[in-house]
Amino acid sequence: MKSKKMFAAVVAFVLALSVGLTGCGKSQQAGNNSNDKIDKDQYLNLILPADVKTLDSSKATDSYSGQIIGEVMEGMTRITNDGQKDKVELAGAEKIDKSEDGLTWTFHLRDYSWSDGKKVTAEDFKYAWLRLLDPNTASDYAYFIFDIKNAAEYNAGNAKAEDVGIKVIDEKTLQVTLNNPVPYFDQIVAFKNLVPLRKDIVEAAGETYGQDPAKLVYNGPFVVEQWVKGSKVVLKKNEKYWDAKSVKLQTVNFQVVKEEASRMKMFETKQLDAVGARGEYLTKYKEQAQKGQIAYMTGYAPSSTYVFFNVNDKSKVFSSPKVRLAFSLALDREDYVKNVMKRYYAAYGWAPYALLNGDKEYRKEVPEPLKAAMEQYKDPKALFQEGLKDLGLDPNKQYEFLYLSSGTDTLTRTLDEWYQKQWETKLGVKIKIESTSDFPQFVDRVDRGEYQISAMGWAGDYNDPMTFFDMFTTGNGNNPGKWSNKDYDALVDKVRKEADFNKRLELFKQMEEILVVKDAGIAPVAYRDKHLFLQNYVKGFQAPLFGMDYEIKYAYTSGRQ
Amino acid sequence: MTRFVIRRLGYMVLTMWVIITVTFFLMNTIPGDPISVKAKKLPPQIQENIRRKYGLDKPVYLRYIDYLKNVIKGDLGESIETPGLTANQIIRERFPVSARLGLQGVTFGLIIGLILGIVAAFRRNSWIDYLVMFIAILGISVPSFVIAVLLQYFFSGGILPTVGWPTVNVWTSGFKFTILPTIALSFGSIATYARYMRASVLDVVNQDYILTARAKGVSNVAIIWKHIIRNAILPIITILGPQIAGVITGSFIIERIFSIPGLGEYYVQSINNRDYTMIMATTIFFAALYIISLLVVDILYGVIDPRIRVTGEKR
Amino acid sequence: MLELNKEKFQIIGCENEDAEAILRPNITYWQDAWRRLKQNKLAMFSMAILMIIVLMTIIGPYLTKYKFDEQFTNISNQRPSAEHWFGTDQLGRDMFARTWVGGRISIAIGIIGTIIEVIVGCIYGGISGYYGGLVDDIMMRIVEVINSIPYLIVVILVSVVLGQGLGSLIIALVITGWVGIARIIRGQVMQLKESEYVLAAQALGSDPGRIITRHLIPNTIGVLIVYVTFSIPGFIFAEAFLSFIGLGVQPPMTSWGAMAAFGQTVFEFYPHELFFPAAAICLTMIAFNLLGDGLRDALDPKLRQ
Repeated sequence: MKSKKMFAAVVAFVLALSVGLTGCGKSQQAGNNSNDKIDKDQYLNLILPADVKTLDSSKATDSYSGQIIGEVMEGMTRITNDGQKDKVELAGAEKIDKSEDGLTWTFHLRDYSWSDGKKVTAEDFKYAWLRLLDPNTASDYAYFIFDIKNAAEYNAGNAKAEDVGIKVIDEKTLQVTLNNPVPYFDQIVAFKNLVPLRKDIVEAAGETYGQDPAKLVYNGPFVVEQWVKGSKVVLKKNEKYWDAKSVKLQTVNFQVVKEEASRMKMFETKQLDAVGARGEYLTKYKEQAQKGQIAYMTGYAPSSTYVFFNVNDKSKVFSSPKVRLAFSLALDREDYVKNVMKRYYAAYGWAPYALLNGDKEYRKEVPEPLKAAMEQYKDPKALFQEGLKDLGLDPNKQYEFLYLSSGTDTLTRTLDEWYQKQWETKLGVKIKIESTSDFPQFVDRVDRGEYQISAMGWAGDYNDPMTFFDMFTTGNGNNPGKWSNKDYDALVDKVRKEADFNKRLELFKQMEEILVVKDAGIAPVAYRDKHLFLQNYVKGFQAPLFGMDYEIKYAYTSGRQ
Repeated sequence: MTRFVIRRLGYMVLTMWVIITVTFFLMNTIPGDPISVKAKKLPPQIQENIRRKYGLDKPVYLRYIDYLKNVIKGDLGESIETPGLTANQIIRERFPVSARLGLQGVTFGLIIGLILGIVAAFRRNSWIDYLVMFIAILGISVPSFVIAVLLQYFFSGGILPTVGWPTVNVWTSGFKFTILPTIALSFGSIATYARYMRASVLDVVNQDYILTARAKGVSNVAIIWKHIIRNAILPIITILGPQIAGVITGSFIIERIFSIPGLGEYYVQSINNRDYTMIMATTIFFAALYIISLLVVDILYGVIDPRIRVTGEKR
Repeated sequence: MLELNKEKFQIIGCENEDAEAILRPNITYWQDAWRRLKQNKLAMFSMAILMIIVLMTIIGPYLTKYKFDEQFTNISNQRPSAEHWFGTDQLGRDMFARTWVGGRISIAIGIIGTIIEVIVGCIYGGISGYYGGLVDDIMMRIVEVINSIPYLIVVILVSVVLGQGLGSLIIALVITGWVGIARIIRGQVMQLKESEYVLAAQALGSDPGRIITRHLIPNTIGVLIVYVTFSIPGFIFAEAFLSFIGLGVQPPMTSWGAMAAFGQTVFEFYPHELFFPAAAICLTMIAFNLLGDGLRDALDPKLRQ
């Protein structure tokens, strides 16, 4: 059956999409708020590149469900973006008190209500957070609040719900006790999985909670008016919202459009008000933006791409830090960003720009360690041979290494072939590329160590360098190459207990030096960026680094034809 | 005939069981599980919670037995990827969408394709024949996603909507939403039907019974209708049955490009997501449709061609 | 009694020894088919085009000074020029060299895959259709099972078990594909086996194997050829899909399908990257189809003179 072959043929594009979209958000605010005449009909047409899977905040895992939940529900705080950097805005909480040691956080709720008129209480928050941690909910994101006392134990079934450090002081006060000082905990509580839930509503819907929008209550700027599964979501302004006066939009239409070309066509014919772009569309729209035909928002994304090595590989070659560093130095990162990707920023360090340590940008405080290393080792091939000699291997033999590709889309393919050429010409090795049928199979092969080199991307979860560094500790699931360094592990432990931002900065700096140069656990390649294009009449649109892809609470239109 | 149908239905149950068994075990053999599809690795204790919730912590054979029991009860389980929805609900919601598109596509493709094929065969080696064959070759050589993208390209912002699907009444409303996807879907099959029809009309034209009929003085129209088309349509029916089963279960490409919330796309996604429940549920559903369509074809065969008697009947 | 002896007879020789001679040379089925095919100008023209394409896939890559896998990232996505006749791709590689290198894989796979599919399908469908009854029932149920197992799962398994390479690629392509042709042949055979000539063959004591291969299959040739002409492009596109899920050709090797699939994503910007591989596929297809039509007429036993 040929048709069967063909209908499966575009699976590749699904993969392409899921890879390409890791962390698509923007970091500038479009438009100038002053002197704008606001249109009478306030609506926006936006797209979702994939279905919304559920509106149950405890079970939602994908960013599109998160986008909708974030607009119709609201947690303690809200992450907004002032055009420069992310800002934590008070939302459900009107005041947050932090104890001296940073271990006790007290949230004072404002007086506001659900869309059905009932008051939002501290109990609603406690119920939601405990539901997230409940082992029977089996939520992916329970780990987000594992810093709360006994939370991880409760989730593992080793402690009772009452032992968890979440306490209702009174109807409007919630007190949380942490294991470690978590200086960014005010951001954590903005996360879409930590919005309050009404016990009566959840229990009435049972297992199907989150599938029928009519049976839900909302406390965010909008409510879900209509949800056609797999097709569209319509939001209406929530008149009961505490800050309803700031919300100008009356209606927001989210259309599910999975095909990139369709989205671009819709944007070009003004059926869409905002769209993210990549590849050739990016170049095209940038030119249009320069001519003033469309508005453009761009900035760093909290995300990096990197090459990792199977340090436990049988050939032993990649157990040598010198070999790993040679592979890292052999990459011409400028060629990568200029000629191959035609976007992104060359990465000579691991933590990307825009990431904050306290209120300072980490990357601007700490110079990129690989730049110094490049000065020191001009010839990566010599370094590679030196590494081989240390291992007792013949440095003049030609070696063949297996590069495992993480994707099957054309972009990944292009990058694979670029890596192959880089190492073959600069180190004199042979690179064999293998790819897997889909992502789960890739993960499986990496777990079993059936590769020597591979590449991946990482997107941070919250605005602190920690989200980029704790992943490479020994035994961490997100440390694919199983690289292990005792000094590094010790530094991570130290940072965890440290509340002082200056000391943290120094520790992160040392960690980065070990990770990318001294012990060269990985080879960072590029810092990712974000690009968003808007119709000129769209104003007040925000794209925070963390939280939601689009923040539309303050958006409005002015001059729509 | 009744005995034949009853026996085939008996076979059907057996075939379905084999399909369920084979798919279940193959599915569990492929690397990766619903947890490994996540972009980030979850802490081990959370992975355990998820495994426990969906029964993935049990050995495969126990899961298989549990699954068979549930299938017999008609319960296909809860989707892993879409928490809160059962497989039955998802199929009930999405199948009508795919089915309408598929039926419209087949009807349109069949009418145009058969007409073209017959005309080409009777005007053999004329410019009409060449034109039809050229269109047919183009239809096969150009993949449907290119047609779909081109259609969308030309109609974007125009009179016909290029994305979405009617949402009020799945079967009858919003015809204009369905026009472009229907054309894109049927483009390839027009070509297929036209070529098969042409070939088989030419086949039949050379048969002795046509000569006999002409010799007897049967009118041309009668020859065409009674002898030629009736005989020539047989190979088409052979491919039509499975094809209908194929298209009403949804075209991944068309559904994706036109953003249609059908079952075809969902199916492919569920494999990529290792959503075991949905893989099994859709496989069972598609297999049942496919087998029934084959049964219908075999019955139709006997009705249309007097020379073929369904097997099992005495010669 | 009349006596007949030698003397009364006279040898006059055989004067009209040509009386029963065959006026036309005695030719075999295949010779006749070839003779008829030669009369079909379109078919011969197509055959010439196919030969040129095959020839180009062999020598084409050597006609330009660029190697198919040489990267010049600073001149990526260039339009066709005197330097790069078909332009360059996203890594600045020469499209002319790549097009012909890719053609090797595509054509080989299209032909090998189709041959395997047709052989397996004909034997399976022929047996099933000819014997009917219980044999047919069982064989057709097997087809239903094979057709119902999700193709993607089967393909992923093939790639896991057999690894990568041309062999596993072809297996993945034909593993379920033959059931389509098997069903068609079965349908045809069921119809044809009621024919008088089959009855005659049976009466003369032909064994089933001979009847299937000599009488039934040749009479399905029309439908078969149409199927084959559909099948080859199907394979070329299916290969593109498999190369995307890691089973097909591995970089830097390429194929028409893989090139077209990439070109499709950028066709709005660099149409040449879609045009050349797509044109190669279309040209090959059209040639195969016209040749197929000619072959159909030439091989059809009923049209034999």
